[in-house]
Amino acid sequence: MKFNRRNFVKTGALALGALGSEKTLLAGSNKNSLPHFAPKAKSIIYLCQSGGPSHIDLFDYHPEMKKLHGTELPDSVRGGQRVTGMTAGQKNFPVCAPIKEFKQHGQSGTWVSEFLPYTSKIVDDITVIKSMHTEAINHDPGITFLNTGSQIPGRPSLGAWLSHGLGSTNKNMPAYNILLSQGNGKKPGQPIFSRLWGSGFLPSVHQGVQLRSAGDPILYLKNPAGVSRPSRRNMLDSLKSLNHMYYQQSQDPEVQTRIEQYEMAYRMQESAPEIADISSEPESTFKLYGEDARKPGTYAYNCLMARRMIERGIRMVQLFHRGWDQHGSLMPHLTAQCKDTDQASAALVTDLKQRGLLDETMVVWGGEFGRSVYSQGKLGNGRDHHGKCFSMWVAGGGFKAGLSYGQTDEYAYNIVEDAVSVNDLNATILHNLGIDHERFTYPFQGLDNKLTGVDHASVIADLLS
Amino acid sequence: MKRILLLLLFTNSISAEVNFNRDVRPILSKYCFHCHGPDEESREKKLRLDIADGELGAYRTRRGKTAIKPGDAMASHVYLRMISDDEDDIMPPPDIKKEMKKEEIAIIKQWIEEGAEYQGHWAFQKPQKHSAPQVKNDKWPKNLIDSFILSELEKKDLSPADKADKRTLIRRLYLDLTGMSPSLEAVNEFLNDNSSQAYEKLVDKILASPAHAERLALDWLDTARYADTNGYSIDDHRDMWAWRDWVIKAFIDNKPYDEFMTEQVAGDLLVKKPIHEMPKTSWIWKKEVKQNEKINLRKRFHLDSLPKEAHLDATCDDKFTIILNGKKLGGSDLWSKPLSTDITKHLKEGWNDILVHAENVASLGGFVAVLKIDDYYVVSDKSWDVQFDNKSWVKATEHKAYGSTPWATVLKLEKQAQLSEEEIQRVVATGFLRNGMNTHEGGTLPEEYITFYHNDKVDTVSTAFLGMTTKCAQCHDHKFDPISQKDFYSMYAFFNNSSESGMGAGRGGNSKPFIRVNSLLTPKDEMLKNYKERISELKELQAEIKKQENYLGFKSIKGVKNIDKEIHVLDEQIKSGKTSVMVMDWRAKKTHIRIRGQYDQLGEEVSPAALGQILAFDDKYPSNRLGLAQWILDKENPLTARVAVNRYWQMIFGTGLVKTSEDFGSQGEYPSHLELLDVLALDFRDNNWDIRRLIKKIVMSATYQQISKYNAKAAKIDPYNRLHHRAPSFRLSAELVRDNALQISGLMNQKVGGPSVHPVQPSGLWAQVSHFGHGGGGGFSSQAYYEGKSLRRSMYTAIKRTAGHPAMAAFDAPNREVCTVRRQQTNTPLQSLVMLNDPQFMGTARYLAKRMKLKTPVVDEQLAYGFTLSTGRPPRAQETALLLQNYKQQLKFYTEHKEELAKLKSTQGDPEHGALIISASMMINLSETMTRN
Repeated sequence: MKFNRRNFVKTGALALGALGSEKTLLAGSNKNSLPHFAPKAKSIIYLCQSGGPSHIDLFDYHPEMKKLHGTELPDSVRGGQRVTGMTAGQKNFPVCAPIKEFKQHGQSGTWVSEFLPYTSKIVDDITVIKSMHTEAINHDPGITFLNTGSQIPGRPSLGAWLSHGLGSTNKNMPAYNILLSQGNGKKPGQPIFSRLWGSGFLPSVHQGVQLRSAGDPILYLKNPAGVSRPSRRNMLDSLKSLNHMYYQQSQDPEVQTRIEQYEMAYRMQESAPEIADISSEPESTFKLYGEDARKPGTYAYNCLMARRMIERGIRMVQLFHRGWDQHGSLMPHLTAQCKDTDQASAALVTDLKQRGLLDETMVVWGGEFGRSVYSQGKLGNGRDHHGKCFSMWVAGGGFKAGLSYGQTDEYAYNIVEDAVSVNDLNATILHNLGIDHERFTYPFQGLDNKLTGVDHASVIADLLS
Repeated sequence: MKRILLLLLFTNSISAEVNFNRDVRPILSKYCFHCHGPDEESREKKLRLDIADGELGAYRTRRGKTAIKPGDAMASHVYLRMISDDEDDIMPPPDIKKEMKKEEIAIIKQWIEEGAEYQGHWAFQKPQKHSAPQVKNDKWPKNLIDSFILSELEKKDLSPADKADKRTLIRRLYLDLTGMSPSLEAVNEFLNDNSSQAYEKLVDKILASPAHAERLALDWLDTARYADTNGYSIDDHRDMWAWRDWVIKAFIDNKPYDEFMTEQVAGDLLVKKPIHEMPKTSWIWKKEVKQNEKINLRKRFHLDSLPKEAHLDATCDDKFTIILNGKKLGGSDLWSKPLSTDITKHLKEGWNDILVHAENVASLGGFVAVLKIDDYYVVSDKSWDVQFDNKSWVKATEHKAYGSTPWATVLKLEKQAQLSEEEIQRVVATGFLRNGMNTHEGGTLPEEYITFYHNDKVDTVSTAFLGMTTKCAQCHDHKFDPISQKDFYSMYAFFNNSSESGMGAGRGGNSKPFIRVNSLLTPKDEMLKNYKERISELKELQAEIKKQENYLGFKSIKGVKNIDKEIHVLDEQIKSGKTSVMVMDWRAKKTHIRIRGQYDQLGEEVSPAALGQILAFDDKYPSNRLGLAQWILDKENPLTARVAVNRYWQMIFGTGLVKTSEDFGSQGEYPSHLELLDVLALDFRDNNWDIRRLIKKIVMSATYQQISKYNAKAAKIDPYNRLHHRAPSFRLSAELVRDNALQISGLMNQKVGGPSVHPVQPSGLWAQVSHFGHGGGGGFSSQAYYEGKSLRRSMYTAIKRTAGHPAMAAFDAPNREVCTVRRQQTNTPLQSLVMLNDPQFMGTARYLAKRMKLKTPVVDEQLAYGFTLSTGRPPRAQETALLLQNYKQQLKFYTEHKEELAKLKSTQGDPEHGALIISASMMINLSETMTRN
């Protein structure tokens, strides 16, 4: 914290005398011009794992937990913490140790579960945050909070904020793009909602555009049957002339904008399929990402799409992979979810690095909460939701590499040090993009709204490279 | 020294007289109120800048420093801190990262020097009567509105624009008031009517049309966050369309706004009869028993509060005794002599236990009971436990009658008073409060979600009727407006007094309380026909899915089964002949402040009350939602009429007199014409809250009838046209873009009201996000794939909250998760893609082409006809040339590319027809077609 008298008085210390500054008053600086300062990253890929991946079985390793397996979770650890209606009626809360072995990897010695052999290989490029926490314990408020900074619907998503603040760097594509996939673990997984990539109270032009794996890559992208590209061009030229005549009559500037939007739509018709056309990808790509990457609609394919979009200067790509909600069938379902995602997530980081894009691209991996150390149902059957701590990983674009950050207790239940809230993470993501989250506001219903909400959020300096 | 320099700088920008509410309050609110405003919790230095007087007020002197000294800026520390060059002194403090503009500081200085006069916030002062101001151009005004508008224009040396021609006016009226272009017959009739009343006659005709009622209803659906699914998580099916029918009917009948509001907020309380029917009741236990076997029965039930009155009626086929909460109530030894007794004083808050001992029963035993507790029943059914000969407790079984005598006859219960059709509809109206989101996610905590539901009701009622951001006071006192956290929960208490719980689904996705009804607007057989059509649509979809092993990445069987659930929901309604609608009822409950908004951190108990610092909620109002409605309508309430009038102004002109129609508080925008707003508000209120009369007044004004042509010179002075120096032009809203295209092509199905419909959308959009197979219905599918269906107005399109129709979402339609009174207006390439390529819009192009072809065989005339239908005017010579040029290009293309022509639907291999279709598509895509000008 910068030391000045105001802070000083607040902390109740002795007066130190005025520390005048050279800052000139009212220099006319525009506080809202973005970025606020030099950014480290230009773009972001957010790999959202919907359902709540088990931090206990994937990243947050405590060797001593093995000894606690099957014992009752002490009340002192649970601390009267509310649990969901699904286990609230349970008489016992038996501790379930990780269901697979962990090993240390890389120079950093990061602990990773055997569920994630590929992620294990990139640990020196990523930072695992083991001390994430959230206020929510149910999916809907949880994943809404993760994506919009608030549990209550109606607020813009991170990507919409970025589209609003930074715009697109690709004039033929929207700034914020969404790719969905269904995991093979729990099928179908927990629902997701357009609100997670919605624009809330920001203009709707900033909402995420859902790219589709079947049919048109973007809804309504393709000309109707019988309308070819040259004949469409002819029609658009006439349309443009007619609209221009209308402009001359009305002088309405909206008409000019509309003429431009029709042109951009025409360009999108070319650029979007080009992104989706993977026929030019060499065999090595599929070796890296896995054979799934050939199949539209899979997580691996979406990771490849994400890289192709980032290459083309798109601001944000967000994947949603469903099925991480392991209340039961913990072993088979978690195995399937990891098989879906492990190789391609790691490949994406590796691929970006090889192409020299990782420095300016953030990659964020994680879901809305973690899972309980105690079993739901009989021992080892499944795990309930857990928001008091969970794990995410971040890489590239201004983040440190090869770090394990934060510490939880031996039950992976409570955070012991370096807590990171969802909004702290969002503040840090914005920071890497050159945005001061406190100055990045939008007026709505009488408030200057921020992505990071009204409660205090901080940039986590320890995570920055 | 620095200071003096700066002061010199400021003197430049001093303007005409400063008005506190218009010029000063927004600045203080923006920069100061957060720490020096109404919220005690966050207040710094015992200083409030939102009030002048008192110990904390702005004029106060503390430690020798006066915050604001009227007349003397240099002795006012508020001002000195604003211009300080010391980082530690300057206000607002740098760490809040809001820097004042120098013009703003200059305004504060001028205001202080002119006497630092405080005025109450304008919106909290009662509207005042004003007579029409004097204007120079006294020929122009047609009614009172125009005098106020012109007076402001003249102050800025602006003059109004010319009057628009008749073609423009009729199209404008139809688009504004019905959302669709006029038919050419209507246009011709108007053009040929040379009488001086022609315009007024047209206005009256439109205002009386059902299409106008639908247009008004559409905006109200946004406000009321109407949707066809539950919204949270599972987002399954719900039925609220009977409420939508109620809204349309209200506008058809021109129901006065006071009744419109009261019925939606408290319709159930206007009906002085129980709104719930007695639940299904049965003789219970039915088992062969031995002679002298002892039978015990028990039931446990929960009461949130003590009832006003409660009565028990019960009988058994032999000797029995009833014990309620340990108190013996008595019994009977003959089944034809039931026990009938008042039990009010034996009930308690929380869990209650009823225990029945029976003995010496005949071989086939039976017991029946009805407990009526206020408007609530506990009846004998299979939820009771039974015990034979002191063995273990098991669930009771039900049987219909004891012998041939139905239980109701034995109990001699009075027949429940039936609600009249009118009374039922008043209860339906309260669906307004129940349109909010619900959760059916597994494992959620009811206590948590019920707070979400009621918070949303507080927000919706406050925004819709009061223009207040009450929700800001959910966790702490409001930072800008006089709304305490206690006020928030007092308002919450109005809605908490009902039987609604935070638990999941009831029948067909509707949760309690709900009633079964028929709509006034949609006769029963028509409803059944709709449901049956929908079922056959779903069955066709099932057949389609069955053909494939995998459908959209899932095993086909999952999709088929999910659709079965949707069909089941419809089947149930077909069987009962009624639809269901969620409503409000009355059940006394305690309400506590939630500390910091946390659902489980209960603070002080509060009783129902409205925003008392704006208008006291005293004893003259009943302490229930009826009282809230009376308070909203009180002549002393400064907000209600202004908020309503402003929203109709916004609907017609695109922007309200108060631009922030959702916020009339101190952070909202000051009205562009406060006096006009007041005059219209009082006129509206004093004329029976007549909506149609208000709208007529607005569209009869000269202000409304101006041309919309952009005026670069005037725009320099009035860039956003807030002074109305011309008519505005803006793009039609999402639903109306589509409705208008359907209308132009002649495809529109004009049917009014009824269940929601499912027009074409790209397949799989719902399955991709849904947790289908859970909670029944609405998860997997499903839109009709077939053209020709669902050519209804877009307001009837089923809204799935978590996946809105993409063609609507692209045009800024809100997802109906929260109350919305003002939409965004964007202009994006995705909109262009929808207009060009969405099969719905391509369909309208095909039908428009057909219409053109049927009209005349002459190409020039065909094109002119289509153009006129689309834009409301015949093409100019240059435009005709362009239309023809495009037609010829397309004709050449299709003549040369027969293979492309073959792919284009409905051309029958005729390249001329192909060229017409593309021409029609172009006409639908014209900027002018989708613009109200």
